[in-house]
Amino acid sequence: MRGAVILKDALTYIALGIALFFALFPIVWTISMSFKTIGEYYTFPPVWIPREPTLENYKYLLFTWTSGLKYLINSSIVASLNTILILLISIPASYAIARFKIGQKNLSFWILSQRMLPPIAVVIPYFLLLRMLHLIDTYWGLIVVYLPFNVGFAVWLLIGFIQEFPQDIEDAAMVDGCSRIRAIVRVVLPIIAPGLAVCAIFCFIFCWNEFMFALILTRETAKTVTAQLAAFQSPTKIMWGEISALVVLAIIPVFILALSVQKYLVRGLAMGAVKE
Amino acid sequence: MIRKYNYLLPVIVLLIAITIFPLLYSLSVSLTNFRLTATEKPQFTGLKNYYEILFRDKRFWRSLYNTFTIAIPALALESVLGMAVALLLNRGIRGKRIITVLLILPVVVPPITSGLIWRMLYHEKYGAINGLLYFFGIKQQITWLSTPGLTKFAVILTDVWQWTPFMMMMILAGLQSIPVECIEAAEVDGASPFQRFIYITLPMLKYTLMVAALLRIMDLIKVFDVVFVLTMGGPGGTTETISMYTYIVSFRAFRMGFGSALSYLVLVLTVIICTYFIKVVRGRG
Repeated sequence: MRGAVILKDALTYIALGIALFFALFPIVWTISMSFKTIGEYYTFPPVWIPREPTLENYKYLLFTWTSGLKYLINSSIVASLNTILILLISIPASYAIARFKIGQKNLSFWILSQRMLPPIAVVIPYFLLLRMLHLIDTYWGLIVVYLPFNVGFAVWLLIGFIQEFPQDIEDAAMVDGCSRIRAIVRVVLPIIAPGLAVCAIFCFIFCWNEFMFALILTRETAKTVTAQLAAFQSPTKIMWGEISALVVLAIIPVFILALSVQKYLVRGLAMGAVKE
Repeated sequence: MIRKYNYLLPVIVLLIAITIFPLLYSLSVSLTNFRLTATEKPQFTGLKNYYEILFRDKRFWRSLYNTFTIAIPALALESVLGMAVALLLNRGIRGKRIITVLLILPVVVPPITSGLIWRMLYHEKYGAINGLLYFFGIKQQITWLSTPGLTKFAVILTDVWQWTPFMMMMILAGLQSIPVECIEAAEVDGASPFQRFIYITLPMLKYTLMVAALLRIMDLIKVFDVVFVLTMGGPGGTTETISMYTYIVSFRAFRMGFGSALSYLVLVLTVIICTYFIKVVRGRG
């Protein structure tokens, strides 16, 4: 009996080991690639671990060519400003839906459905309209087109957080003479702060990861890191070292952010439809 | 009462300006022969674009076929593998937390980078997959991204890599919400592990699986990023998905009218699935 349990556990670990290999190998390979010299990535069979790890690829992206750094900064600017706007818009809206029960469920579901909008369905009018407004290749162009997607998500998530917050505390503050706005700012927001952080982080990740709008609506000035990654491919040669290094740089921020909200990852990815 | 609606004003204005208006605008564009490169004014052509797409355009139907022959196998694999890993993790083993954290990393990676990572892995000369195969004695250099039968598989595998952890997380959350008593009661009654899975676990996971699968299928219908870097729709259009086709029509051939009509059909498809999704979530609430 004991033997059977040990065997079962051993098999579980072996199976999970295979899953871990499948999940992590591509990432580890890319990290290894980013430290290789040109001679090392053009070999077969491949060199698994660089013999003479080099920082050349990173140096090139960030200091020699410097555009790599620029695209990372562009991504950060677009994602941060979008996130701030989203919070400003979503907090009052989700509060009203959660507390005043405005629009029953229809309104909140309609707002949520914005998240599901296929980007290809709106990118053509966005392109044409931004072109008329001379907003192609500007930060604001991108920031604005990311709004509907994130607002759908943010309002929905925040409704959940506000509903979990006991209304009594807020009512007590209002009985004590606080205006509603004051009660929201002084009482509700501090208590749902973790929810706000989760919401902000998901909005930031959405902007950071987005590709299709960035590809079509930017050229050079406002180009984000995802758009640049696709531009690295030329028919003659693929700059593998530089690509890998930029992939690693693009991944690190999202890893850190995602790990910081790990507890809420399910809730965020399922848009609150499934809670952990 | 009016003041309560002020809280919602920004959202409503935003959605009218940034989704409803652009969508109406593209609906009007879809009824014209608007080309970005043409010098003459676009002409109103009524439903001609839609007629052409639905009844004349083989490439549209092929892209729809491609989208679903990528989406369905990917979803099936992700569900089965996600279920398997979730069940393993749920056995109460040591190190569950750290293993889960490591397994979910691919989910948050920007899809464009997952496409690039796999493009490097698939490379026939210097890629790691052929490298691993070589290590196991298969010396042939397989051209993953230019053999018609293999490219679709390559796209599916990339999606499976990135999104299986999503399914796993959803299912794990669902598994943890099943009351232990249910499982124990069945165990006492002499149900085998297989019976417990079929008659208790699976029915209790129904809602979670539904939500996860619908979210995934809505994403898969618009699959673009990975295809863009892996194959650009090639070879010979075998991986040209509906989003990819619409992109090529609109931004390579600059046929905005035709492209808008195509994009409207994608929208309709998504709205149908989304409506169903909302019905499922509502039924629960």
